[in-house]
Amino acid sequence: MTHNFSQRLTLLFLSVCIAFQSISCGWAPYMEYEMLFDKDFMFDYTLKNKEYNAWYYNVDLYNDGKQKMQNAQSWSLYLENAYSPEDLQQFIYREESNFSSSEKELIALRSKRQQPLQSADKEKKFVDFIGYALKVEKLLKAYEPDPWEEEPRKIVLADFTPLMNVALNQLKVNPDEMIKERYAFQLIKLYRYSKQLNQLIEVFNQNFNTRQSMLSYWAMEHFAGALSEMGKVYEANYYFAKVYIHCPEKRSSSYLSMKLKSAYDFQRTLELCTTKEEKMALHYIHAMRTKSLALEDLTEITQELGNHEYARMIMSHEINKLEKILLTRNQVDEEYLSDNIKSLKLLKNQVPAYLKDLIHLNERMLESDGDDFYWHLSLAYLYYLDGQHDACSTQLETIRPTTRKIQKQYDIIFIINYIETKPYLSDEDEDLIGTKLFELNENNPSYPMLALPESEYSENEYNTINEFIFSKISERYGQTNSFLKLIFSGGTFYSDLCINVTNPKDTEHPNDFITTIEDIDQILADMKRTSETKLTLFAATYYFSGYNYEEYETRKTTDFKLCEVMLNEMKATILLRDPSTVSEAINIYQSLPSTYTNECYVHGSPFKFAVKNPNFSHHDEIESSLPKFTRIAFAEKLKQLLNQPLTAENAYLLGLAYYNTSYYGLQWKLLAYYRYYDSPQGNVNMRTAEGYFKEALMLAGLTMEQRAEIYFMLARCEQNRYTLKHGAFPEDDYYGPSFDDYFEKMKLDGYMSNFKQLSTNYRSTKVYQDIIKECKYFDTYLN
Amino acid sequence: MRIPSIVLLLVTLSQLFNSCNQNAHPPVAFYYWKQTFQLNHAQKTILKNCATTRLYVKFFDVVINENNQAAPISKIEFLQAPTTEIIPCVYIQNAVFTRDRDFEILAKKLVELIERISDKNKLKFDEIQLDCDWSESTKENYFSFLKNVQTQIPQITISCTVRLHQVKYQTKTGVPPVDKGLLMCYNMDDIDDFSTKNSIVSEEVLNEYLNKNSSYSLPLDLALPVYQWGLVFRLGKLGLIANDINQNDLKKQSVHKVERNIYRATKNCFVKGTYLCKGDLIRFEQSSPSELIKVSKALSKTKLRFQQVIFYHLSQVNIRQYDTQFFSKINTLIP
Repeated sequence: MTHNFSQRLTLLFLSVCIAFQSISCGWAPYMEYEMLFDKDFMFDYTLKNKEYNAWYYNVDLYNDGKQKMQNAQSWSLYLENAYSPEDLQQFIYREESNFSSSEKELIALRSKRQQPLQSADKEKKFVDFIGYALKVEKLLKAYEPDPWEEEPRKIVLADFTPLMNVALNQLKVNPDEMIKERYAFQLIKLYRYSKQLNQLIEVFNQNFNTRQSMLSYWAMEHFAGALSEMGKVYEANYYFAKVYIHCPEKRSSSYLSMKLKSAYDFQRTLELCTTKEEKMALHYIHAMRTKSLALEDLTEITQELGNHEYARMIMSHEINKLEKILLTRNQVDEEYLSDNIKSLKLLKNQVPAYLKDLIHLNERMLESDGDDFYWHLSLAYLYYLDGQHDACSTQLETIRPTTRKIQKQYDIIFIINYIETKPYLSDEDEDLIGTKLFELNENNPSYPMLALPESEYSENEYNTINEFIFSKISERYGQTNSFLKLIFSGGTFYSDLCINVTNPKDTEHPNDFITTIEDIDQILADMKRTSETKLTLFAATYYFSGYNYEEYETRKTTDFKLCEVMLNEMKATILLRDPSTVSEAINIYQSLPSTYTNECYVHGSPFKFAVKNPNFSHHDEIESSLPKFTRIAFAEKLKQLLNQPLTAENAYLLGLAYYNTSYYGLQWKLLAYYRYYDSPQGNVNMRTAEGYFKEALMLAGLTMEQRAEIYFMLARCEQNRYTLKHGAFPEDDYYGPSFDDYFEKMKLDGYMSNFKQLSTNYRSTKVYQDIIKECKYFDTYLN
Repeated sequence: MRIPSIVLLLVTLSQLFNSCNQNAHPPVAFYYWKQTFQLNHAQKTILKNCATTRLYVKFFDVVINENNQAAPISKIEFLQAPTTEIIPCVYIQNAVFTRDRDFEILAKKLVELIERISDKNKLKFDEIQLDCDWSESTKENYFSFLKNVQTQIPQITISCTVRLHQVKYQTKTGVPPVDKGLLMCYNMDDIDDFSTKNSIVSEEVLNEYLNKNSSYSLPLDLALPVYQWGLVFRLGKLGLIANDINQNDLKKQSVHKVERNIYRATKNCFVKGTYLCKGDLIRFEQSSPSELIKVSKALSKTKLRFQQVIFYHLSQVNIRQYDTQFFSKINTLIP
């Protein structure tokens, strides 16, 4: 095994761990169900939608960071793009105590300037304003309620007045509209916190009411809050709705501030809306309530506005809800199916009934506006969800995708529907599906979700088409073909087979996930009767791909020939663990491409005795200074020793080789692919090594030093066997039996026979003295 | 002729009442679980007729806030001076105890806030009740917190809620280090399962947790439910809960009765602040007197004994439909 190969294994293991960790931490809430309908793709055909940005109903997408950046960007514009928004954001958002004097701050600011300004006084105005705003923030922070205090801090108007006066003065004298707007906003905050609500309303009406700037909506939120505090709930709702619609970064807070507890509340708020658009916007907000069903609002909107983006956004939202239920496995509770109780039937029918309602609405939309591909795609998908696969196919035929994103959504619906329309997938069918999968994944087979360029991920939601298709194929063929079961399992060669390879003859440490030679033979046989189609190649590439450290990239495609090589190499390695099948292993190795077998090597000779306990980390550090041993070279050396008449020397070398390539030895990678660090698992069989050590002792020709070494190796073997059965030696802080108790029990159980031999017969050897120095167990035994 | 269930209930209760020594039965108290304290006439009448002297009032909840800190929310506001003794209750999210925190400081802050609310409203108390559905994994932290609360106010009785599963599996979940426990005999069954008959209270479910040998190594009070709600099933699963509604609220043009306690929304509508959507199924649940009697009898067969029965909860509009005599007499069944 090469240095690269061992690195590769380590990195592969790490990448698998990271992937698992990512799934369990970040992705879990989104990976519980299939999400195949991309709510973003509707933005692909009109820039207006992107600018409007009302799509993002997910409040998680709006965080403080975006507000800060937006603010910094508006300042950057004011400062004639002489400063980057990032630098300005850093300058603006900080503690008031970090703001020294305007003069010093101006110098600090200018050090970040990227190009000259025409109006240099803008910088000073900016710095003065930031100094002022930080003082306002400091004051308001002092008035922020401590949740553990019963009463909020009593308002002392004198704290507010000086700052209010500064802003009032600026509003009078400052000719700069941008700066005036900023001071007006600070003034609104001061009035809100000091409960001077009438003054707040006056300032808002004078400075913001007719504006549509970012800051005017920030101010409007305070204005609506003030109205709410004054008991004007419906007016407040109306303005919160305006903030919700026009100011995405304030969507979460404005939505939560609205009070729509009854049909009356909704109606009264609706009456305040002056235009059809505003009224429909309220319906849109109503519809986007996370748990509500939006059909009625959607109907209202389509009747009033026709094919409006509100309608398309709501439809996508509803589709996402339904696919979450319909595509996730085990959603239908079987116990309901046989029940005749009316309410249970109604419950079971809730999803299909709602799906049908959406289909009817969508069909009506197409009748009135058949040009928009969105409604064709949404209807095709709704038909698919409803099990109307022929209707889905017919609907898809009406669509000619015009952009890449639309093509992707089209292909996804096409593939899943195509699978359902075919009771049996021919090679041509699989080629068609596989080709589309490769295209969808940018030629980079992935699992569970689409492999997309980083820029295309929508924050924290993922399209799980790959997982969905793998599960569909696995359901169909997984039980009858072990190769298909393997490659469509979602696992990988390195995270699955390599870890599960253990010694089939090991009975002392049974493992539920053993991969045996028989398993590999079965997989190979099933592979041979599997057609190499684009679909199976896609899955095989994902399963058998690994990072290629020679080329610093992951394999893009893997043909079945490479799968066969990898499986056979693994088979040979398992065969190598048994001295009687070493020749068979060599035959297999020799049949494999040397480029592949040469990749598999370790450092250091497995035929050497070491009194020191193996230090795996240290070994990794110094391995480049040690000689290399490929698996095939190791196999040939074993064969050479096995074919010679068995001498004490040869038996000793074979014992050492099988010990050092077991789980416990530094050359473990010669007979395994993965090593558990927390507890012994895998190639833990000690019997082969012990057998050779014992034979060596029975044969003549060994020196006393060698015999002492062998007894020490036998002591290691018997200790390993004991700890496999009874657990590791207790640590000092171990909660349970003490080290002494454990050690005594081991002795009583007869697992110290070789220590006894050493102490009785080999005290005069040098090895004996070395063992006392290195082996604390032996030292304990003696004392 | 069909005899009204309430008559049967009263007959049964009076028979049982006559056969028992009235003084041996625990007194009746109530929970008040709303953010504003203001008793209406019906609530005051119930308290008076039940001779209730103790009202267990939720002062606030402690939750994990957006900064991952334990913080109080929904603090109570007294709009009226209570005429009974008030026992402050605090609900604490189990998540507060899923990681290590400074529980000494948390206990101190909690006690101080209770004291501040009490001082402001001129309330005196001799007990604090803490409500947390602790688990095996949070046991250690929760119990450490409870000890710290006790250390803060050693002269005050500290009680805490105990769920049925915590009695059944007490060797695993442990017994909290407090003066007294409160056995919660409500929210018994799986509310997510549409086939559950009554998730609020069920003798059948109680018997799955307790048997004749059930006991607990703390003095116990008993909490019984007197509330109702509508469980709204949407798209095949529980979507939301419509609290404090009655069956009359569901008699609307846009809601049809499907079965005895199941209703279906035929169009979108609001029912007492809950927005229902077309197709929603609402399972109406209540703690019926007959079920409570069954539960009380089942409890009397165990080794559990109770010092007080506390009804959950007084702070609801529909409390008026529970007969006053029911409250004053059901305790005759409580062991």
